[in-house]
Amino acid sequence: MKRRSRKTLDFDLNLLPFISVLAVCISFLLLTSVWTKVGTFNLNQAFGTDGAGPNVKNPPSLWVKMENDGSMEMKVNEMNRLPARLRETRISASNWYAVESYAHALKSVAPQLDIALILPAPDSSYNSIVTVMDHLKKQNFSQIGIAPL
Amino acid sequence: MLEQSQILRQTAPSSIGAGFGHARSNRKKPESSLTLTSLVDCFTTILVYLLLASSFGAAELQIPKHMALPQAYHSANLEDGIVVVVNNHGQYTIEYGRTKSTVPVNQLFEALHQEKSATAQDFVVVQADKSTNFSEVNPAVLTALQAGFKQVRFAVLQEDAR
Repeated sequence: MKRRSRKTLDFDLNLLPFISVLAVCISFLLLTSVWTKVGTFNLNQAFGTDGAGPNVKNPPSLWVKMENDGSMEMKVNEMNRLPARLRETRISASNWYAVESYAHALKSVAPQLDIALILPAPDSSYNSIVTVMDHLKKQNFSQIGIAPL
Repeated sequence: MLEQSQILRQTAPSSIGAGFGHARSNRKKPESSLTLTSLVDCFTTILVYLLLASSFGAAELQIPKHMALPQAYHSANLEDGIVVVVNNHGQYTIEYGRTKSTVPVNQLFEALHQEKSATAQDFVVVQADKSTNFSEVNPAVLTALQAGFKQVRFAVLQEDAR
């Protein structure tokens, strides 16, 4: 009696076309990928037409005055109920940790404080201005403006 | 005796092969199978990484070779608009789409005013090297506001938030 030949269940998937497709996709993505992401800091500038009337009180704001040597003077305006140590402080050049600590302490005492105005000196570098803005943004200062010279 | 056996051992395969020529063709060829599964896994991992790392549809900004933008962790995404590049020696390049023009500081207002009326954009992106002094960036900011732009944006290199 002749034995029936069983069909084998083993099969080989042809991976070569799949590899080709993957290689093409990887090449395409490698060529078209942008590795450096560019972002922007949006300044909330006040205009001359936005001036408050004589009886309108200015909202509380943090002023960051940058000096030519890189040091900064940070001062809160239009806010009286504030501990004396937080009303005004002076920070040495490139001490970004102190900037962030001060902004954090200020935000924990006065969470409604959203406005910050940076007053750069003529020799203040673009990098230091952006770094100050970055630290203030981190502490949720939503409206950051810059005072032109 | 020892020498004879050594000679026999060395010559035996060739003599057998010579005697039975067809036996060589019946030998199984050595099969070399490349394991493709691991290669496919590797490719898939790279593909997923690239797909996740790629940003599709994002606006692009041409950064000159000599320029290094400052890094920031909490910046907003870039949008297409008018770009004012602060060059050295008081020159400013205004870019919008593919048009590009370089003007000195005394012609910056006219150039920006023209772009503003032609494009109806309400913001301008200022792009400068990180070591640039604010005294060189200031004319771009001030003139943009005077030309009627409602917002000034500073271009930075976006880093992942810490």
